[in-house]
Amino acid sequence: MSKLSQLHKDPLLWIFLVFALYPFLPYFGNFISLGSELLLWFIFTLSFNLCLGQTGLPSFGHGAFYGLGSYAAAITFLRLSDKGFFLPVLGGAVVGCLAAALLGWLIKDKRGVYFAMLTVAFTQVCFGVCWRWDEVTGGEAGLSGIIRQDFLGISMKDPQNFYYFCFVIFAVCSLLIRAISRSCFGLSLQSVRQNHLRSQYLGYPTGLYRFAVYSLSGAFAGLAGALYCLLTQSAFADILDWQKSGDVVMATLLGGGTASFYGPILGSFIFIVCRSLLSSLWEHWLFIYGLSFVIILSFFPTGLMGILQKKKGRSKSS
Amino acid sequence: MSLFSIQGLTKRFGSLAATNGVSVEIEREGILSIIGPNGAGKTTFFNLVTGLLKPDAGKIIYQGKDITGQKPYEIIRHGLSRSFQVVSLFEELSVLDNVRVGVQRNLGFMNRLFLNYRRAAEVTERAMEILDLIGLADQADQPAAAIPHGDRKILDLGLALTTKPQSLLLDEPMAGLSKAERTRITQLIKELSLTHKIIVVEHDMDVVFGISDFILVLHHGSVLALGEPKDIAANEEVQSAYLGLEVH
Ligand SMILES: Nc1ncnc2c1ncn2[C@@H]1O[C@H](COP(=O)(O)OP(=O)(O)O)[C@@H](O)[C@H]1O
Ligand SMILES: [Mg+2]
Repeated sequence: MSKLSQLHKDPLLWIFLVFALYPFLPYFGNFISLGSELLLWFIFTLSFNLCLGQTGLPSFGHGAFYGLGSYAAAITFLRLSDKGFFLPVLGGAVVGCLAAALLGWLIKDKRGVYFAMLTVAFTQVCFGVCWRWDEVTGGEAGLSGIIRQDFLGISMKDPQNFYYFCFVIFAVCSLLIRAISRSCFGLSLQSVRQNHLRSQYLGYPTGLYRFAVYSLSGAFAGLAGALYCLLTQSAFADILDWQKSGDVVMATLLGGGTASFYGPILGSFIFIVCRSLLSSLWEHWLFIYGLSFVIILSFFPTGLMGILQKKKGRSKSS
Repeated sequence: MSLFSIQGLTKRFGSLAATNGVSVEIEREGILSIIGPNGAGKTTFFNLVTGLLKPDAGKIIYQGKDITGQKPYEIIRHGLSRSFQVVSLFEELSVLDNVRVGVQRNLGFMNRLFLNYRRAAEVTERAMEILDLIGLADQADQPAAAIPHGDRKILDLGLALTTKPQSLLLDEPMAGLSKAERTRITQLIKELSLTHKIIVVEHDMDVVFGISDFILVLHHGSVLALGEPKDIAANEEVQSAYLGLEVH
């Protein structure tokens, strides 16, 4: 089978391999919850890139769905009597999807910077609500007391077990999102991004496609947020801060989400590792990170994956 | 019953009436050419008829149905399709994938979430048929942005065919093409006219008078004349307004 023999060329397979071994890697293995956070960020930025890279939707307030997913998981856990593990995760995805559907329906025909600003404004509204609504969201104190229950008889209190739970979800989500981006539906989304007018003239109601992908993306973002709630065993309003959404945009662009499906994974890896490991060594790391972002994106608008692809293309043609 | 019945169609941009009370009946058969100097309102007329612009006044009846004010994606369902004066493609996609976008919509594959679009055999087959018809099959894998202008113009026309239209509105399909390419497109248009209603905006008078069954002359947004080529050629108003002028 030619398909099987090509498998080793699949970047996702290598990413899976590295992260399956993550807890045993030297150095990184000591930071197991950093590993879990990486996996959640991969899901989150991949979902964001379904909007930006695939469909051209500048959803610069995408953190709203991550944050709402996190609250939804916390509230589901705290309010439901059976304290299960599965429902909070599902709750996060459903709430992320519904919130994105609501916003998406309102702004599906807005273009460019108006779309971007409206998503940021939405995030700010969510932040305001969660910051103030003491009875439901715990207000400024947030929600805590979330305990990871056993799942299928496996103790999720153990960070390594929880890591592998996140790993499985990441593997499923990344395969799903990649399949979608390469599907007929994915091509429809591409057409909306590249030339929405021509797309309409070929019969695509482009607004509906933008709405559909936004809702879908919100579900994955909400799921990632729910896992983040279980990781930190809490939910706080500060993940709804619009600056957090900016981190996602920067990571995706730096990695090269507009050029490649793998861009968001590369970008998240760089951002999270820098933030978690460099920041303890040097407090001005953000300055260097920001500066490299500006320099790289000015010279290579398609980010790091764009550079890689150009190199590959050149070595092929020569 | 005529194919199109257009009544009092008007579109203003500020104080300029780009389309000014145009009323025409368009027959079912044959090739209709629309001519007129630059700025006469030919493209605006197409934009109105295909739903890109909303008219300020007037009605567009197509095959007995009022399609005024419908969106382009609604209009094409009635069997109308168009090409663009300024080439409008999916620049980052290959030539084949450009055509696939239209074909997969037409064959109902466009919402398949987990079918790899390259593995939709029916779509690929039909897309290759279209590429064969327009003569771009050997460039199927080139990015649309990388092929020569003439081929891009032809691909633009090919995209219009993916919706299986009954009527084709072609906006200057030969603008900027070489002599050989013009001949090729003229031939293609003649072929297509056997199975499609063709409405074409064109500046090349040899082509226009060679292929048209009817000619519509627009001037300052209004209809100056509509008739068979020999009547248009003899029309004095047309001659003074347009044919006497050098367009190129
Ligand atoms: N979107 C627009 N906004 C303002 N003016 C326009 C617009 N589109 C066309 N026009 C004007 O309307 C007139 C007719 O343009 P057009 O329909 O493109 O002419 P043609 O295709 O016959 O050359 C021109 O004077 C043009 O400048
Ligand atoms: Mg024009």
